[in-house]
Amino acid sequence: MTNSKIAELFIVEAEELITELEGGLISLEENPDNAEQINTIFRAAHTIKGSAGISGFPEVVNFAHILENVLEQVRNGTSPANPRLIGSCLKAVDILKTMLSLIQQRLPIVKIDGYNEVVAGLKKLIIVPSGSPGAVTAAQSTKNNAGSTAQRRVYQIVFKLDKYAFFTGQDPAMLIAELADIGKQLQVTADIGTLPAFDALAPTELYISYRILLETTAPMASIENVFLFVEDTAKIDIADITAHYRDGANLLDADKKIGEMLIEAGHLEPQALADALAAQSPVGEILVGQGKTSKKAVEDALARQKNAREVQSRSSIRVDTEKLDRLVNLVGELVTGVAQVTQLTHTYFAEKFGTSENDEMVSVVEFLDQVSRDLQEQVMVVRMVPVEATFTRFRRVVRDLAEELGKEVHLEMSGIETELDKNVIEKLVDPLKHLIRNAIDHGIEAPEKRVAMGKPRAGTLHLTAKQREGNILIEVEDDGQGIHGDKIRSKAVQKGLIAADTPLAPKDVYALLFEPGFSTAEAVTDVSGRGVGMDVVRRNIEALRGTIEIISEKGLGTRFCIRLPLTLAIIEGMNVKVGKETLTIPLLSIIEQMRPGPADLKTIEGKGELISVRGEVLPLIRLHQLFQFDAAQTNPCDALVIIMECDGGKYGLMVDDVLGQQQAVIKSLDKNFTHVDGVSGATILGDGSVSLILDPHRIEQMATRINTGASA
Amino acid sequence: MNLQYTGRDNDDAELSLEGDQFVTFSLATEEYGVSILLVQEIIGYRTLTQIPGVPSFVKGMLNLRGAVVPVIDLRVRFGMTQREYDKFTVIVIVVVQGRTMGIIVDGVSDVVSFEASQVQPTPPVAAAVRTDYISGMGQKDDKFVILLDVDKMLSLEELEILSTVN
Repeated sequence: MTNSKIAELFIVEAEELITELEGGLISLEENPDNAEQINTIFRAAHTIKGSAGISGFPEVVNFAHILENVLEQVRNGTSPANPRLIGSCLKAVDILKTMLSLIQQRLPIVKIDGYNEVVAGLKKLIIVPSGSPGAVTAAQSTKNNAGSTAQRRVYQIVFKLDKYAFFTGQDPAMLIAELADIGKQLQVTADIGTLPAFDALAPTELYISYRILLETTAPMASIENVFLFVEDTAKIDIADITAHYRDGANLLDADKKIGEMLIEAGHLEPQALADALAAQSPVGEILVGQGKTSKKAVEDALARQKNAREVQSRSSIRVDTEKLDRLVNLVGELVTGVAQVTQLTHTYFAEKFGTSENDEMVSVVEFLDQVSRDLQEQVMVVRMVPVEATFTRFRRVVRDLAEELGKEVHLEMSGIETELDKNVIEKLVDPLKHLIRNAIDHGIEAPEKRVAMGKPRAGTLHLTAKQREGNILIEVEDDGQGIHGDKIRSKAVQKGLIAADTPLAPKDVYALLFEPGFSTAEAVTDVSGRGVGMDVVRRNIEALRGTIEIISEKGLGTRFCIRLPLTLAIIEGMNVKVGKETLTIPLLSIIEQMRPGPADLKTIEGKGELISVRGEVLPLIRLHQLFQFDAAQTNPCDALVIIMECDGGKYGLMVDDVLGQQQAVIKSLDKNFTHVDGVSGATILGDGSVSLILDPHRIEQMATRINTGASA
Repeated sequence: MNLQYTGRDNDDAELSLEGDQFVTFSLATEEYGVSILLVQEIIGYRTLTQIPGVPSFVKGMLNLRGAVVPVIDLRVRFGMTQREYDKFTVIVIVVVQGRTMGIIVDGVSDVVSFEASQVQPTPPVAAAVRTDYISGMGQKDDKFVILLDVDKMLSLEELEILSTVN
């Protein structure tokens, strides 16, 4: 593996761990006595240290070590998990993030802003009792031995690493060397019992297990720490045998089963023992036979055991998203290809025999069609990841922001198991962050104000994700002051966005918030109020082919509803004909289609053609003119007009004919060509030809530009 | 879909020991050559999907086993008179800087090897093509072939400059 590959792997792993660490710290702040949480955090910090060591980033190792020491104190109860400690640890997490980004950019890990302050802050938290070498050891010893730190104890350590341990950079020699640092190794035995015959031996695999007798003053916890990094995959057994250790013999051997001892010494194959043991009746049967327990109880216990083992063995692999994208594309091709075969088969049989019913060939092809669709669905599922990780990230944002603004905010999340396309999730982070900032800055009131209004001191911010009719719904809801509709109105009038007497539904008033340059904040804070942002939020969400809506109740709160498609790779499209060309319009943008009468059409100087739809006057865009295609129909009364809606604006789009609906696998034009204005991509039709997918928003802009240009 | 691996892998193409190999094709009265390493395949002319707002020499898009590939008419590109496409008209699919593109030519002639000594670096003045698109002039027996620098001719920068001019 090359260095850059190692670094890449490290980054991926460390990013996950840092997220875990950060999320854990924030939960710990809310719930300081959660021992499991403390362990998770500690393990994350420790694993970061370990991976950094293997990957060759000593700066990260050193830093993570300090953090780990602080966390160790929390774990063993020496330090309380108070806000000060968690604050320092969170700052340390920021430093780790900076380090990672430096590694990612292949820059040396130097000159990190605030590094020294953070290290000093952490070191201040480490309690070093006098007369002992390290805080960790001292704290542990105090607990174990009531003040006496000098007592030597003997531990027996038996460990067997995973067969593939070498691939993950683990090495038993390293662990043994680390143990040697802790104390005196009285005996180290390698068990070569499972070593296969020479011709079957794979040099990259690890077959050997080790048994070590260690004499040390250090507590058992420090021995456990040595193995912390491998404890998930390795079998480790550490026992304090001080009382049983005499003259180089472990007296416990006296009670050992003979089979175990033979295996330990390498004289017996475990398989042979297993075979021998299998010849005996299972212990459960014997117990039942002797009437010591009921058959049902044994069966229940066995079922529980089996279930636990299954859960334990469920594993996952990490896959490069690029590979997945390629797979998704290929499967998309397959589906299109099979659809073509299906269509051709139908046509062929219909022509030849007058019917395509009941033919074996047709049913085989249809079966293939079904299978390929199922395959596509499954591949799409692979790309789906739960929103949990993303939502959890926001806890830090909420915490920091609430602190900065002097507000009390309680973050609640629901539907975190809802799954969404990974690409969509990544592009959703920024818009969501912005909405959260807005909710805390503008929505939730200061604690005193809330109390005066009879609300609880702490505001509640609720993040929800759920699946609804093939869409994903994500909501950001606060119980703050709500949006002041009249304020928005007057501001919009003042900015010239609307006329003073324009009638607007509440929904449309809120939609003004998404206009560029719009901000109602009285004071521009660091957080929001600069008028950039909300329009960017909407643009980002529309780029994901989603919609955003605001629901607000004055004094009670505001809810932002984001509706997103399940995936980015496929859209529902409507195929239309213009001249000889077939074009695809995203179904999401289509409201209706109509054939206008002559009375519905008007032309206004400087505004171009207009079409009246039940009293509403909309611009009319002739697609063939815009794209300079030869059209079969040039009179709108003979052609069809599709009423489109995008970005809040509506217009009529004139086409020759509507062909029908199709699921379109989106292909980028940029890959082989360059960006084409008014077109968001291309797709392959059932007959194998290429169809361009229109970008409704750009088409509107292109038409506006042409019309205003013509009038100038 | 990534097409590079369904077709010939550029790096694996056999290198002739005698010199560089070129796919030659006819355009009006002249013979042109393109390095065989850049040519992925040659297909017959088929109906293309029109693209709006692009230079006139970009004739449209075609579906090449799931990939959307733009196609350029070399006659239009070189400012020659256009002619009706017939059964000899072919589309040469080339891969330029990782992008797959098609070139419409009058017909494919041959695959020719030129040794370095058979290539004159200085192109003649009278060619219909801009001299900076020509990498050399191949001569074998009494046959002359204009060797095109497709990399340069079809680079993204070139295409973008042309579309803004348009």
